[in-house]
Amino acid sequence: MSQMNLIPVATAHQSFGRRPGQIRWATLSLIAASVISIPVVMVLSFVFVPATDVWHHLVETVLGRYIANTATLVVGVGLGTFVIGVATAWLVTMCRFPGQKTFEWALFLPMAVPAYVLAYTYTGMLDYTGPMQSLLRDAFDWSRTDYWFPDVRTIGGAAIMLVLVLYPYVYLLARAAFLEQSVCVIEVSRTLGCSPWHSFRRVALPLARPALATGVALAVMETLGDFGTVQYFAVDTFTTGIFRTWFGLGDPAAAAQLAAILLIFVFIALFIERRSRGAAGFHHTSTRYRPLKPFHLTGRRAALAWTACAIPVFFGFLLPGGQLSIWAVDTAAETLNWEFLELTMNTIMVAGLAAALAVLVALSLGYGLRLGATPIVRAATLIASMGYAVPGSVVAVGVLLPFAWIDNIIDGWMRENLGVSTGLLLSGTLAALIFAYLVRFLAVSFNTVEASLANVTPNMDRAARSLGKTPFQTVLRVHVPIMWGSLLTAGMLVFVDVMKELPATLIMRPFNFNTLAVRAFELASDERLAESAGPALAIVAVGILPVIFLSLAISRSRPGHAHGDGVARSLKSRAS
Amino acid sequence: MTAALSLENVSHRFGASLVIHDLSLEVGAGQVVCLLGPSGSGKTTVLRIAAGLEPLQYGTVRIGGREVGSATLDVPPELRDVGLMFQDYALFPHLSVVKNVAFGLSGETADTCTEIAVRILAQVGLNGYGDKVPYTLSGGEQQRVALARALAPKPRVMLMDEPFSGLDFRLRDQIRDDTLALLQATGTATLLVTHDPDEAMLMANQIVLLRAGTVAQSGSPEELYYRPNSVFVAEFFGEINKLDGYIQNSHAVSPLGIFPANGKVEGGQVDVMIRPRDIEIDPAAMAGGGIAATVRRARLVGGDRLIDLALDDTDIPLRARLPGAVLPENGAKVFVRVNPERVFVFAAPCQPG
Repeated sequence: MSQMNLIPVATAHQSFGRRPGQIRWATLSLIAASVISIPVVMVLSFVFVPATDVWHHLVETVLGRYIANTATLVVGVGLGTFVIGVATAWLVTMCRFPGQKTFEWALFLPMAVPAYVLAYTYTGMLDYTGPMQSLLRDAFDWSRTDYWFPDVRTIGGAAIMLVLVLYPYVYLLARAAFLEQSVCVIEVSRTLGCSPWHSFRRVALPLARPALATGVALAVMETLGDFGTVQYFAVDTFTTGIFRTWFGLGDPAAAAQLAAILLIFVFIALFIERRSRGAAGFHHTSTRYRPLKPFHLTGRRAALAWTACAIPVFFGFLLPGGQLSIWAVDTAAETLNWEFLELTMNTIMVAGLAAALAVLVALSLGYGLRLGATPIVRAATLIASMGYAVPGSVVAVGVLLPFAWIDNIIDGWMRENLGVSTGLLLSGTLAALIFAYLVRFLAVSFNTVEASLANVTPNMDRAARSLGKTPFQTVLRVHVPIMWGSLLTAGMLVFVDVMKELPATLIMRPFNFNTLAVRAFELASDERLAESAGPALAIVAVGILPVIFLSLAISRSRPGHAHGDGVARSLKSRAS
Repeated sequence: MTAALSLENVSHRFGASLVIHDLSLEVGAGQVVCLLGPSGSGKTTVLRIAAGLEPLQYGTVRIGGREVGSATLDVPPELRDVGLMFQDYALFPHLSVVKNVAFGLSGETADTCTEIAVRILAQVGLNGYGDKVPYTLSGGEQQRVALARALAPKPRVMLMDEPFSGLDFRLRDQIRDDTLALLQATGTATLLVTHDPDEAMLMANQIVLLRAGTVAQSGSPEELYYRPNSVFVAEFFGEINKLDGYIQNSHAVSPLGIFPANGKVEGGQVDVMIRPRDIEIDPAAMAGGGIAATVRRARLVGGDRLIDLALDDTDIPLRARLPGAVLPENGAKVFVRVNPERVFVFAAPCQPG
């Protein structure tokens, strides 16, 4: 009878009974979660490392600028995404006008374009020799000094680029929130004497506030993590600073300290996001749902609404997409070669490997939670799935530091005892890069896997067991068929994210190893904008996949059900 | 005859808390035993232990006389010959109705399995539903599919966890009767968990009433309803009047009269209980004995009269539920009579201080 003392406490209601295999499983998922959390913990630990000369130099020279620029970007992108996201969401949800149905999904399209691609596409279009200025000069017969033209390669330009690709987060969550609002609440406000505009401002908007805060927080996290845009526009922020401190000044410790400060900003955004998410659950006082009775717009109002929705779609997707296509066709002869094929194969390989691993690890974490959700397993899983908020450059630093340390230890030991130098075994390998992807994008797959695992209720397990199936048969005949579609989706989302990822790839890729994103960025940085269009267009084309998926998921969702939200978090973590 | 399912001296703890304490029960073939109790009384845990979903800690579980759970033995659920039904039905969403039902059939060809499944679906009144997908079905239909699925492998024991509580109350009675008929026709031994005393009385040959993991009382529905062994059991089967009393000359003295109290301590405090249905009232005009009372409020509830009274001498409130439709006026004087056989007397718990 002494066996009872070994049985762990709590939550046994949720699991099957506890048998040894389940305890092993919990241990396994605990180990996985801990390994995934290493980079973030590593970076944070550098807060306590004594500052170097480089650090003092940074504080005296650039730190103030990093903070000011980062803050400016955050405020600008926060405001911009809020205004565009809320306005377009309200228009397509509450109003009916020609084209409204199309805008419902078209407004997602800019999500497919990485901000850095938008950045150099606009640079190419708007610079002195580009089509815009040439057209103006030809039309008005101006010469160089005759006119003023805005420079896109500024901090303001960077903010606009980021707003154009990030507003869909706010749009997505705002739309979901407006759809969920019971029309009863809005009608009550009308009977209490509010005009339509007042019911929007005094009822609908405050009700949607948690969702809007979540959307803006997600956009802000992306902004904090952005590397490609600010690097290309030569705007000094933390992400470019980390890159430069590591490679330019050769001081990993100072880079890690910069990364730690950036993480503090990220955690603030994350905190706001999580808190708003929690609050969102309490906002439905009426369980009665009646479909919204939309406002039918005609004439000038319809034209205004149409224009308001068309602007972000045009500037965020159609115009840059068109320009990229023109460039890609123009340069097809030079760019469609073996190198392009190799780039594509490399990209598919790393993205595919990372996607498969991310789904596998997410599955093991998901089952770990399901079989034994002890507080420790829960906490480890939570930390492991926070990577989506951590900028790629920070992840890179957090992965490289421990890997280099292990390499040095092995190398030192081998030299001392065997007289051979092993050099760098782990750093600078594909394994390190894929591990970094895993850290960064595990949350994407985990959220999807967890949601789909929730569809297999514990009672289904119990039913299958009582109907004569072993645990293995239960997984095979009940879990796999139910979850298959979601697993593919999770893999697809990670695949696309890895494909677009720039800073970590740039920092960690093995020597001479290029992906589409890296090559596009390198070509653009060398002012070979037209040639970069091929790889960039390939990225955008694949990036449309999750957008289609998202539109489908939303059109399938019903009011009164949680939707959009989880998908948004899964999609959250775009190339920065 | 050996019982189809027997639990002997089963105890179970989650961490420090003992959720089941020394529970024994038996279910014979074709019998329905209801595990009744408030939420948190451990009844679902008993079911899970019987199914093998929760490893047994103390005691023995036998199915068809064969030991399946003991200190040293833990037969997994798939080898126990039990069927399970849940409140949420837990149908497999990726399988059609007929495939759900055929899920537990094995050792036959696919055609035979389908044939058996279709036949059982017909038995539960779902002819022609085979190709539908679960989420298109109504709650009642899903419940029938779940029943068919659990019965298809012909389990010796059926374990049901609140199987009717998800249903609309108008459907519930019908489906309960159909289910009961089918279980009896197949000779299945059934252990049914419920929190609804009416359901237990309707379905059960025997009721096991649990309170915080221990058996409060076990017996036929009549025994529990008419001969409850404690205040808890008496109160569990519905609203009941409770008055203070004390023992004098081996009888319980209360504002409602003096009743036999076998073997209670002389001078001790007692609770005197009587159900509203077992109170009769006479209009004051036809006074023929009884205790004077005043009508405080009278209402009609589903064909019964619900009358709140106050005893004139003591102002103690009392509720009566009587057939009929003519309501007495508020403030009307009446006389209350009770049937002494329906009065329960229990020793009162020690008063603090």
